[in-house]
Amino acid sequence: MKSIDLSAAQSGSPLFQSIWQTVVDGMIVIDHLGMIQMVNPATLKIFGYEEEELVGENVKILMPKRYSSEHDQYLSNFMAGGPNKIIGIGRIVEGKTKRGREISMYLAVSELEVGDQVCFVGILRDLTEKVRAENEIIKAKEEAEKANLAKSHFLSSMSHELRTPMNTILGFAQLIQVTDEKDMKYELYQEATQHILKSGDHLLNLIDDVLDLSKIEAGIIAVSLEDIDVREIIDECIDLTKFLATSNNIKVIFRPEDRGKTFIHADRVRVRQGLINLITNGIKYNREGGTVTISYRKLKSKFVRIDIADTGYGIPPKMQDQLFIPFDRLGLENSVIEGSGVGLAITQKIIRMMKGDIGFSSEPDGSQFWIDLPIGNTDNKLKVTHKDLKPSIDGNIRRSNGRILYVEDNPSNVALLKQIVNKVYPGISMDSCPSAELGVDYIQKHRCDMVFMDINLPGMSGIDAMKCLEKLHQELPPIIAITADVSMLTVNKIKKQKFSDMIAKPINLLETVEVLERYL
Amino acid sequence: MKLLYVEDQPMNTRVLRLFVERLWGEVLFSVETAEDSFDLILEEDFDLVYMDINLPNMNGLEAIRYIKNTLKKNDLPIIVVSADTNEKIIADAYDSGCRAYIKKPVNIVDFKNITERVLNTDEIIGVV
Repeated sequence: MKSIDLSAAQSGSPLFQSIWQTVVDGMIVIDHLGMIQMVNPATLKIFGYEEEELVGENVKILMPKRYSSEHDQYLSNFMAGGPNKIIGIGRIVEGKTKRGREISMYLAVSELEVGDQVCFVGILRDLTEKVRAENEIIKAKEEAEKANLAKSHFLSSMSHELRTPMNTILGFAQLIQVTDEKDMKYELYQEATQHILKSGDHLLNLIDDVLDLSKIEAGIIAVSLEDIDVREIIDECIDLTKFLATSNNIKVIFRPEDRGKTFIHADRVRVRQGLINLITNGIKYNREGGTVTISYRKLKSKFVRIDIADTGYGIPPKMQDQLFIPFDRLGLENSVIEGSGVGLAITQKIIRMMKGDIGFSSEPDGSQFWIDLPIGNTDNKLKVTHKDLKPSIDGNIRRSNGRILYVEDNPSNVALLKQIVNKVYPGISMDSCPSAELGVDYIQKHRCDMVFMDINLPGMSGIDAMKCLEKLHQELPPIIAITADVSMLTVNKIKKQKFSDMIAKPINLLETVEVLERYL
Repeated sequence: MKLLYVEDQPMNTRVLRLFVERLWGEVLFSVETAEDSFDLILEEDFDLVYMDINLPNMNGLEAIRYIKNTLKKNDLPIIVVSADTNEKIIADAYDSGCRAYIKKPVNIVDFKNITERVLNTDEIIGVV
């Protein structure tokens, strides 16, 4: 094979040489067979090769496989007068670096004759970052459009769902309005009242659900995670849905695990809401005399799965992907079964807020829903061993009397702190109050050496309690804020008050001991 | 006067039936699906049909097209009664050949006026 004689050009002009060496864009010369004749340093930099690795190689080496396999054919077709896809045009193509990474680059190729030989000069510029940024913008735009579409779908569904009970309410009210007193039958009056009340209730539930959903979407609702006994919370939910089950003639069966306790790390109120929703669905969308079976098990992946299986008619496969869309009741919009169609959308969102997931499988003889939630701290939950505390117990001389108050509504947290205090400071007694109001009252009446204050309390919050205490007292014992909500908003609020320190839930043993040592 | 209402939600049927009884002392016939309405429309000589859109299988707008094109009941006036307020749907409803579109919740005065105008004129009545 005769090589093209480029040496004259290469060495002939110092100006050419310095342009070739310094130009920002990559330049590459190939012959009519695709063999690389010359590459400039910019090309080497883009592709990560040394000059001697490229010169004499087929230019295919710089292309991803899906293009390189066609290149020889394309080039020989072109040489034989075939179609031109790139010469004199320039466009964005894919390249492949030495390390195998694909890059996007702008490539413009010109054809020239050196003596009686045809060769091609390519100028290329790495556009990977630019293309990536563009793709990201396009993706963001598509996502925004999708969200917008979902929003308008949501609004039009909501309008439809609100208008349906309104039709009943306003319909009967108008009937009463246009009926003369003498024609007014008591039955109509009674029927109207009954329907207005029922539709009014439905409307109210709908509004509550929609508000709940928008609050979750807006991120206003925070989750407060704690370790929850699965069996206990399922029992609680079954109890709360007992009335519905009885009136629908559905049997709810719970099969608890025999061995030991299983905990999930989740928000108690939200887990209850999600479970009640799933159990209620199982009861509502069931066969006459059917059952809802609840069970749970530990998964290998540090999750606990709770299964809720019904014996209903199942969800038709073609409708299964609409299940979590708000207001979509899969054709049961107008059925006698009441519901807003928002429950599963809410449940999915809250489960995901707790780093869990929800899913289902469905056959014509029933559906099985599952929720996975992170496993809670089971073993050292309420067992603070001497070994755990050894490093902190040894060494220091400890206070042997005094009183600590813990303002906390969750009994298991109180029990945990009590164990820690008992082990580390056997002489110190610990009391607890389940609300901020009672806590403030307690501090008025008793001398405390230290106070632990939960922030998220029913009624008055821990922060409000602190404000109140700051007004009432010149001097306060060390007060430690305990919070599961470590969002900036909450932390900043805590910092504005005169808390001595702050610890985050779940309560960490050593951190708590440190705090005790520091302030007692 | 013979009126038919195609509506799957019993409560909506109940309200409109009481409206019809109260306004004109007539009985409102009703069926729960579009499919059920077709035989009845062929058998009975209705003066007017009220049609919901959101129906179990075939929706109300498909049903109107079927009544007009396949059943060849071009002269049978149809009034859509729907909680759907989407402009595209409303435009599609008029496109299908309905004479009027009544939004739920139904206003009894509008219901009376629109029904009487549809029965007594050939007008197509715009949505309120």
